Amino acid sequence: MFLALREFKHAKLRYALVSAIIVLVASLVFILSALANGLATGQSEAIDAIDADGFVVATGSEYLLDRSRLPAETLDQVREANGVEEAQPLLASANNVRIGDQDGVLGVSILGVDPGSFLDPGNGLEENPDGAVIDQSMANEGVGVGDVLRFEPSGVEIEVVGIVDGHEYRLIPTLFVSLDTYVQIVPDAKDTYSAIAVRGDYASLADSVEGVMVGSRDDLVTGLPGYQEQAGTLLMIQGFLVVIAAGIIAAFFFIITLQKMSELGVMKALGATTFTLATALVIQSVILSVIGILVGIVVSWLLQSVLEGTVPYRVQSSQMILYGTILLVVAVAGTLLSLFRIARVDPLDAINRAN
Amino acid sequence: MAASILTVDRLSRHFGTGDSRVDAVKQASFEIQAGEIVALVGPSGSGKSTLLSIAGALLRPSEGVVKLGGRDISSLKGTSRTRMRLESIGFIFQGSNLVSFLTALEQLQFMGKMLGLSATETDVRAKQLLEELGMEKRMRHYPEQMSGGERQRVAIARALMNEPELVLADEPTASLDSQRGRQVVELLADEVHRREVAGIIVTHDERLIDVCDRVLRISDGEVREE
Ligand SMILES: Nc1ncnc2c1ncn2[C@@H]1O[C@H](COP(=O)(O)OP(=O)(O)OP(=O)(O)O)[C@@H](O)[C@H]1O
Ligand SMILES: [Mg+2]
Repeated sequence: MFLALREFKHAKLRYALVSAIIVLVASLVFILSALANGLATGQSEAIDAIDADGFVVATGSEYLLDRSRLPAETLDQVREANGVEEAQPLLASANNVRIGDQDGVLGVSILGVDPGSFLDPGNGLEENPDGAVIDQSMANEGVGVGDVLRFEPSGVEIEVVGIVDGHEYRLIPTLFVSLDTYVQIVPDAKDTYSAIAVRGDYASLADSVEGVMVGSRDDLVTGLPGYQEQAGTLLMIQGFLVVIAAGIIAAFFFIITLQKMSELGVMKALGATTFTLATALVIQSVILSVIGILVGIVVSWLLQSVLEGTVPYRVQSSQMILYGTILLVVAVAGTLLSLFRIARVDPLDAINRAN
Repeated sequence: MAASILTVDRLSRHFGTGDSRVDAVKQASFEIQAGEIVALVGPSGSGKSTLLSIAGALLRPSEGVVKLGGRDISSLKGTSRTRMRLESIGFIFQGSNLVSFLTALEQLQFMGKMLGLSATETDVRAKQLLEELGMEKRMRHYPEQMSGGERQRVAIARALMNEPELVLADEPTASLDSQRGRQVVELLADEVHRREVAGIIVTHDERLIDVCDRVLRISDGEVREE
């Protein structure tokens, strides 16, 4: 600690600069993870919120609700199947809506559920089954309770009766209506369902019911178009950033160590062990990284309130802890090269180098 | 007769083998008593630094025995050698000698830390030493803010922090003018006498010999008492 801190004190600017770089890299890692998280949640929140064990969709739909059409009898078959405790139908599609007498239409996700069932997000649909409950994502577009939504091309008009949070679907403004209302808006959907949410044993339904495939909530989420590609891209950028952070720290400490070779020789001649000198270096890298990581966390967290409602951006503390830990581990690993160099310093150099 | 602190007995050291073999030190034998400072002089390449490194447990001899305070240090290995240097030997090197990012006081405090001294004990010793060497006004200065002579005085103070049995200096005056060089050697000799330690100074400068108690001459690795 003694050596580590004295060196900081003596070369403030040099260490401040590298700390600033770590701040930037760490901030980027955190911001990207919040963005990835925001995008993922915006895609799948509505599904994530469903308290079901599994889902039944039409074969060949590959868990894409838009593509899945189950005939009405499937629901009865599922409900009668062994091991099924409860089954609720779900309708989902994208639609255009005009708000009040505004110009232009808004692309929305529309979900049809049975009011009062476990698929109902609450906040008014049960009391007003003819109305629509909108998600915060739609409220952010300036829609409020009492506004009238006019669906295109069917022309059906529905009043907003409530607002819920945390039920966005496919990154566009999302709203919930009853199954009956849904069929008015999308007449094609008559006597069909997109999916059936099942509580109880759902796995065996694939065999016992004709024309269906079953999947978990994760299957439905990862089946969303672009979901995996998007998550993969962001994860790759984050991975590169972590590697860059390791590279910066490794190079920085390596150069500083090389510059100090003769002093390290003198200290070893005076009786310093490799352990003492290596500890000082590791302490330095831990301090610089922890500062960088903490500032990065604060930055990405402050950005949350700045970006509120504009960009899907969501800070998640468990992810922060995960990426923070990875960065810290990587930073310490980055000093390994320098540690080898320190171990190889010969105290005899203190005498020979001078000659 | 005073106790012999350093005993070197038929010590040899060679480097390399076959055609490239160099016999840097050949069958050297001598003793140094407590409170005695010895000048080690000889031409370049005669083996002065090699001999000093072996006496300082930095290098192991090919043959022979080195005893410091009765203990054989020639056979010590690894951490026990490091420990021996830390606890019993003081070093003053030529040139790049101080740690660049530590102030004069911190150079000494670092020794105290490694020795496991308490903070108060460290500070008492460090301040006393810096005062003895006339550096009390420079305690908070970094090496880059000190003159060559001041740096060597701090190096002497640092070499005495562990209250060593043996102090070794390899050309401590090399980067100083003759007047300042002489001052530094005189200071070192004073400390050796006062603290009853054994000291060896390697030097090229014949004019500094009279400051020391005895002279060892080395040429081609052969040591001869004068
Ligand atoms: N590590 C080594 N490998 C090979 N030869 C060495 C090594 N160290 C010293 N020597 C050789 O041993 C001989 C004595 O070297 P040493 O450094 O002890 O001389 P010196 O008296 O200190 O010289 P100078 O006054 O120039 O410092 C020289 O010939 C040198 O080349
Ligand atoms: Mg030499």
